[in-house]
Amino acid sequence: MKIKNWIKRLSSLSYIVDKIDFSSSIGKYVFMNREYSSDADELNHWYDLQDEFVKINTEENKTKIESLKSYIREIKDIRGTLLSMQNGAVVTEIELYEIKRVAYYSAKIGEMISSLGFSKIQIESLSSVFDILDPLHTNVLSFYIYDEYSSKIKELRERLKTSADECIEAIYSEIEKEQFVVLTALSDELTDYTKKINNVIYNIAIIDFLVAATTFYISKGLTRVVLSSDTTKIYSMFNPLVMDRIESGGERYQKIDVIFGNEPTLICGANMSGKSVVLNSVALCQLMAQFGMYVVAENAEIMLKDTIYLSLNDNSAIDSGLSSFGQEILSINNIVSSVMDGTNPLVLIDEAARSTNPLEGAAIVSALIDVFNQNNTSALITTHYSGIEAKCPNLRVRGIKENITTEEITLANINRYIDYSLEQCEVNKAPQEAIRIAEMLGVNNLFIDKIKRYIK
Amino acid sequence: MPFVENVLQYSSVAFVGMDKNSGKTEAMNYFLQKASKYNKSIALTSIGIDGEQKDQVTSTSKPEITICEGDIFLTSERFYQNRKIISEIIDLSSDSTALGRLVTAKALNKGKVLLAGPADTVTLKSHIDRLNAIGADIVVVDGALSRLSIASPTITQSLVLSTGAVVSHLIDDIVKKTSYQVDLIRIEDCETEFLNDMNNSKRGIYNITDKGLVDTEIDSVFTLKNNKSKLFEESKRIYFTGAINDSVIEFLTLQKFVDEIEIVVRDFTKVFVSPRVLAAFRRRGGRITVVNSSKLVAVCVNPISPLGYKVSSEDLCDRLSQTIGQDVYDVKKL
Repeated sequence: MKIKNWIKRLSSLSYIVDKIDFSSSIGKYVFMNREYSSDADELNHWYDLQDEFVKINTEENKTKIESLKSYIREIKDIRGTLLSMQNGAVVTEIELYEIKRVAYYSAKIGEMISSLGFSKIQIESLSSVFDILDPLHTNVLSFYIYDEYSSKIKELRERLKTSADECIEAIYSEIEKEQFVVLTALSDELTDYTKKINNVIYNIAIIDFLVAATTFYISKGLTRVVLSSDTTKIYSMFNPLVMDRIESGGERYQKIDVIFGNEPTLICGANMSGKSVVLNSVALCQLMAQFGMYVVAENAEIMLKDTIYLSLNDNSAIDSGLSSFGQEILSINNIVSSVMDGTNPLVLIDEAARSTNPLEGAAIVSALIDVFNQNNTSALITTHYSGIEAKCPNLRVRGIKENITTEEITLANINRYIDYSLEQCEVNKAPQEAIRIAEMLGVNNLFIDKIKRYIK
Repeated sequence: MPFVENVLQYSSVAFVGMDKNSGKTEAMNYFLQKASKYNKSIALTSIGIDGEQKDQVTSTSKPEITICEGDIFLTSERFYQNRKIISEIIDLSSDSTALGRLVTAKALNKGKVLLAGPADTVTLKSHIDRLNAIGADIVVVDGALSRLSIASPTITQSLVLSTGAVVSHLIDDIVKKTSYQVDLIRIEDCETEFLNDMNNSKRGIYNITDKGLVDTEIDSVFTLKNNKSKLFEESKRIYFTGAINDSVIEFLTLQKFVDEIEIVVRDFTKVFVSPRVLAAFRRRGGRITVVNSSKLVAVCVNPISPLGYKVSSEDLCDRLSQTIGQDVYDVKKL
């Protein structure tokens, strides 16, 4: 799947993509259509390119980077024109102007990246294309059917000056005919260059990505991934979507560490303890790594996976007509079948079997863990259920801090009283903090008392 | 050369007509031919294509604009292909119209073009600014029928109004209708130090007090009657950010203290009030002012109606100029 498909499934990825400020539509297009990759060489190549660009994208080079961006902004997506030329169509004057523009600005971009000392991507020179479209060698960026292209046009235009008004219409239609001859000849001549122009545009799209992405990485503190074969270790992981929301409310975001291997891991924790955010952020790191990007952490080693299966409460589709349990179990079935068929995915399931009773729910979770254990499948599964018998590593969100002040606790500040970090624990025992959190949030006292009476 | 020099003092001008075939295009062509002798860089565009399409329907002559060597023009891709002029493309905008993207080109000889510029005023304004920035001393906007909004001083600095026999076959009637339009264009400036705040207020109805703008918290002019106490709570100077209509003025005319009321609107294009209603309001002492006043630099007439009748050009010019106190031109006679 491509990035453009994934952003529909993971809102935090879509958030990041929106923050990457492309200068050209072609840059964004090429990025959005990048394929998920498990090819370590290809990915390392992308990481290297970005490493190199991060070094260049400094405060000191700011003016140069700004002019580079302004040149990239001038590159319009002319692939449609190039394609129709390859198919033998005759281009219009306006299309020739656009080609000339690409030739002009690609030269500027090439000069600018070499002045920045970036040599990993070469922008081929289109000077021969520019010369065809600049017969007067004035090196200016305007275009029309110059007299130099056709002596007949030149002569007709001369005639315009001296003709009576009633003849003008006729002369213009002759000029138009002759212009078509010129346009045909120019189209033929330029068709040889279409492949080269396409390459140049593609490389500019990559440079656009490098400028935009590294600017974002630097501003948010993203890091390059080290590829690993047996463990994923993500240190100080963060989720920009959640982080920006929390920080804009004046609160502090807690970055956390996650470590897992080629086996399932259960994560338990109270309500509101950030379990879903953990899964969401892991998904984000994994996807970004496999799309050749830096990841949202301070340090990360990541195992490459064939694909990612998400069962998150993010964007759940309720329009398919199935009950929530029906949907979930089919999605789990899909994962299980694929794993049994030998796929090596990363599985992220938020509150597995959440929509059914605890007894059967716990059994479903246990069976899932068995399947993943047998197939050495990396999986993170959050749950509220106690009594899951299958054996696997357990992580627990530390949860509510003890030293609570008298300050009124609200949804806006509750995160000050929660420690979101994960710790290893021996057995799966779901914490019972729902009522405590409800109390902290100021839920009606009488109601709370009633609840407590039912707990044995 | 009357009025040409006056127009050239501004960095943008809109040519608008009271109606179709009121001679707007003739006035514009006249201006362009004369202006070419002043060694000024001129850029042209239009708002949308309303006028042109309607002309094709009524099959009256196509309003092709004759432009001179060196002029810059902004039109859509489709119309650019059909031009009768030698010109070079100097820019291609990603802003698009129903007729393709917007092409900016420079005329290399004298010839004719059809103009179809941006379809909305915000894009139009940005292109006017851009054309000024690339060196146009004045940007001339061909205003389409029913799009008086481009004559707003927030879009173009000045305007030239065309009127004529198309408005009525009676000179009296033409004079009456035109002078009312002129009257609106000339609504005087609001005297206040809070003009910037007023321009920045995007919506709502405000009281203007000594200390600044106070939001009356009335959402719409349609609910004025139920909110009378709120409307006059802080002041009797009331700023309407949107348009005002007859019922607003009629309601205010009925107030005992009507002679203390000052209605303020953003500019004259926001006034959709019939002459009778506005006159009654003013007779009782009410005032109306604008935040951005307009510069009407000229009024031009076309004494011939597309329906075939004709009024006396001389009479029309005389009567109208007497009534509005400004020179009126029939460009065909100049």
